[in-house]
Amino acid sequence: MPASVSASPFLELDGIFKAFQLPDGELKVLEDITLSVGEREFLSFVGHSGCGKSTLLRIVAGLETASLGDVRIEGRTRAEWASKRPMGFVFQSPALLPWKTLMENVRLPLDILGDGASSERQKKAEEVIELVRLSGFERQFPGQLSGGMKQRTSIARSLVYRPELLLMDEPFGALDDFTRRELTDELLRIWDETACTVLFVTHSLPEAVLLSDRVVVLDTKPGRIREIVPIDLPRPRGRDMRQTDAFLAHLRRLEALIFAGEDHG
Amino acid sequence: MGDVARGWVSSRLPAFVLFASVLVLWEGIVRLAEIPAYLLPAPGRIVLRIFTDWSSLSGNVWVTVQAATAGFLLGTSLAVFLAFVFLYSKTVENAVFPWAIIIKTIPIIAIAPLLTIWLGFGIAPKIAVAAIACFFPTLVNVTRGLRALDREIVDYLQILGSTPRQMLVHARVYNALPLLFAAMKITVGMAMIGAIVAEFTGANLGIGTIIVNAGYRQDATLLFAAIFLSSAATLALYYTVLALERVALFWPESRVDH
Repeated sequence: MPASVSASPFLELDGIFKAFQLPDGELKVLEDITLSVGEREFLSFVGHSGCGKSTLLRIVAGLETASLGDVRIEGRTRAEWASKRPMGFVFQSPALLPWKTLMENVRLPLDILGDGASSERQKKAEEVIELVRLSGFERQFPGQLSGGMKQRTSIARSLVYRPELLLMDEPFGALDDFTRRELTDELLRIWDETACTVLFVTHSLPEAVLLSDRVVVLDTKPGRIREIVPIDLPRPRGRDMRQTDAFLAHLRRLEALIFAGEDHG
Repeated sequence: MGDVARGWVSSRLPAFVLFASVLVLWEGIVRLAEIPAYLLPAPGRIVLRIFTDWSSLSGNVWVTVQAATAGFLLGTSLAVFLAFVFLYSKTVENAVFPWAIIIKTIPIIAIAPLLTIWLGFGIAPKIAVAAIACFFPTLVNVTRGLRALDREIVDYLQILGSTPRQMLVHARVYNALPLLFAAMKITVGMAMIGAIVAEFTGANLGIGTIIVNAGYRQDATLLFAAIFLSSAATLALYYTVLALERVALFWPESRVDH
């Protein structure tokens, strides 16, 4: 909730710049991204393709390094914080290990982290598989699951070690529209049941409005923060909210912001 | 008969029909045109020869199969071992890989006599030639399989803070398995050829010696009998690899099919 933002920021992005060196010069991707995220806040990033929102997420995850600027989490450096407990990351593709069953995929983080006894890991994995409603499919391999089920598995394995920070890079981008809506509603429910801060990159404005506490609208080339829009819809939210005036007003506001840049862009 | 069995039969049927037709046609042409057996023996005659010379032929094929199998296992193990070393040391790879290419470019036929000079007339030179013959494709494939993990899987394991060893046992090994088997399905035949070639250049036993002697005596029927039997043996080795693959590649979408 926006109220918690001012209290003590959980995550701070401080003047993040990112440029890639290309043969014919420098490609500026991100410029001066400065932002505070509250604990348990759901923050979305929207903007045109190439606005650097995925790059920003990869910088927070430590998969890319910023050219300039700092990522601090609970007052510590990113690397220091992540060494205690890794963050969760859901990619656009499920990126499951095809040679491991659904259960083994979900258990894998616990096996890698060496968390608890084997029976305990099994139990935790079962719980989170239940949370994403995949009970009964534990012994299937990813190749035997539908796209939506694979992405649920991907969410489950990111939640199984109870990360305090969950990064989602267009997690539903590769799914068909029905599955996408279904999973958005599910994510809403799942997020209510887990206590984590979410950074969510999406191309879908309705998705951003429904899920987020705040939506960060980014400019393109280089990616810069154009505006941060608070979404003050009451929680818990559900799919029925999609038709309310308040929801549609937020949607229109975001659309206006995104497409305003087109004319002088 | 179950559906699966019926499907198997109907998918293999065209191949059997064609195979049988070729044999019948061959037999017919040889008889009608009265082609002498020293030029082209009819299949019936070849099969008969296989029966009459069975103990000599089967014994010698068995010797060759043993050498080919040992060489195949040796060459494959060395290649897999080296691929693992490459994974941990780019320096070793840069130093050794050119040598692997040089070995690949050497004609097997040219090193076979050399290896016979060095290793004698027993099984050792055959194993060596068979091993060399199947070394390179396996090295290339397994090296690639261990390296070329999906980028997002690497990213994911990195976020979890996986150690290189965990990345190896949870992902890289499995990623390399389909490529290992793809290579083995090719090299198992090359191992057999390697062993036979080694027998050409000097050996006391083996189907290769039968072939050389039959060649000197212009005994086409015996040559065909030897060819038939070594083909059958190679096929048996190939299907053994295929059976192992069925067990090892247990997840869907893992088989690089032939």
